[in-house]
Amino acid sequence: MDRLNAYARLFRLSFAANLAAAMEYRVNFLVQVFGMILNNCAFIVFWKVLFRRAGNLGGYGFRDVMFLWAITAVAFGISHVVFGNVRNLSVLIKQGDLDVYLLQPKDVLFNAMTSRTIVSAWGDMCFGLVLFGFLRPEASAWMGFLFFSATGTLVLSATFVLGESLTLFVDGSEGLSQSVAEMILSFSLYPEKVFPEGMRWIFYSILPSGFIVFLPLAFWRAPSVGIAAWVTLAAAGYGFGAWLLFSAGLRRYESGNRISARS
Amino acid sequence: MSFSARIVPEARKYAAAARVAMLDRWRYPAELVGPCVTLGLFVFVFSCIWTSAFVGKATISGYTRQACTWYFVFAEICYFCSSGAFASLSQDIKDGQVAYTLARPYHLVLATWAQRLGIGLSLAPILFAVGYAIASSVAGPWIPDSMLRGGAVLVSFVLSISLHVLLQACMALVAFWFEENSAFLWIFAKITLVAGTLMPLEFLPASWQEVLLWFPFPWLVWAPAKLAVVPDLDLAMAGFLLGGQMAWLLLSLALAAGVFHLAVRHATVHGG
Repeated sequence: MDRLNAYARLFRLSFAANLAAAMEYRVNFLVQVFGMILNNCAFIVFWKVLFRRAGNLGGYGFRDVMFLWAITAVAFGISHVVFGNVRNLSVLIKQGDLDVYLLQPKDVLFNAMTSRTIVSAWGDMCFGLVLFGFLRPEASAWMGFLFFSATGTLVLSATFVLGESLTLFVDGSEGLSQSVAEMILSFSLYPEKVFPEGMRWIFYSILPSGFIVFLPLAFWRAPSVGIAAWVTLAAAGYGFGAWLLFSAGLRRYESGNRISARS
Repeated sequence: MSFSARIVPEARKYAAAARVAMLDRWRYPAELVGPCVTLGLFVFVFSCIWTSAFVGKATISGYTRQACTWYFVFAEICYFCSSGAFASLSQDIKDGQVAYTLARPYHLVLATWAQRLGIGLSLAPILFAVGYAIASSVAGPWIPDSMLRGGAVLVSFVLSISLHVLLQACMALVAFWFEENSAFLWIFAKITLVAGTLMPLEFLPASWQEVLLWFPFPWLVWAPAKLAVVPDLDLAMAGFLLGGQMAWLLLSLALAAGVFHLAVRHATVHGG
């Protein structure tokens, strides 16, 4: 329990320090947050126009796609707000910048991930919450949304870590990590049924968009304990798997012999 | 000195800048992987979307499924080949690197235009190959049915990159006044995305189309992509689309030169 409290304290302190650093440049913070909201709004226009012209897409309506966007935006936002280094791990590894975290008494992965925040991700998070609000959900739907946003954050972050950890095993795999990140985001933002049936297994394995958004959407349409249980199990599994792979790879890590400070 | 005697050496200078940028891009082929994967992914996702959208429909706003798929390929290639000018010029201004460029015997705006055109032209064949491989497997091959179409698409593509680069340069030059100028690009990029990149302009409500045609956004990607897929392309249509792009190109060139003229007075060089 003490250990858990210590990690909670580290998380809280890191978050506060990152937020203070981000707010140091307030205009920049606001520009990035509102810029990202605007960026995402452009896609709402696209979907609105497309649904007006096409009627429906593979049985999905406008509200369904907006749900996908809302939950992905919140999961992506939280992931980058609290684990800001989650997509920067390969750079830290390549440059030998993990030394500073190895010398500290907390878990390297947790410590490294929480030591940074991505300012524009605040915009994604706000956008997702406001967008879901526009769908006029009931209180119970909000509970489900927040629950699946949390599981989605875990699965998304774990997938990023899995991709980034490849750098510990294969030199020059940053491009692959980047592609994994782009693919999981792209597939999570579009309705599952528009993709060929033969490739949908990918969404429940290598690129787990199924656990991030498709199963939560199924739950939103018809709530079921089974779906919630599967998603919870998957989130725990992907989270543990990512930590395991990173920890295994850490044994192969080579120091950069650089003098650096925890950012 | 005659007009041509002055123009030819100037043109050679910028052609050399474009050629160097092109060779530099090809020098690091690994850097081409990222844009290729991203473009391939986008084309695949959108071809799936168009397949679903056209279930039970032969056309939407005059476009068939095949036309929409190929429209997206051309639109995205134009977009990919011309992005990046804002970021590099903006960064050069903010960190003072621009001082070196200003001291060189060429015009900053024209040099940026030439370099980005070189980069765009070096990227285009490989991106087209990737897009072609994916789109032709789901929508059938794209073969220009006339010399007019082939030529018009090529000219329009060059105009598209040029226009996009010059407009980005205008926004980047704002960095002489404002440190944080990325908001301009974001707004610009998002309107461009909606006004003809993700889907043909004709999908938008008629009133939006009328308004947007008075702005540069549709001329960036809608014009070349439409030229590539519109059935029965005739001279009048090609003339309208290329003429619109040309008019906006001249306007944006004048605007960029004007902004540069004002902006350069704000340049502060600290030496070093």
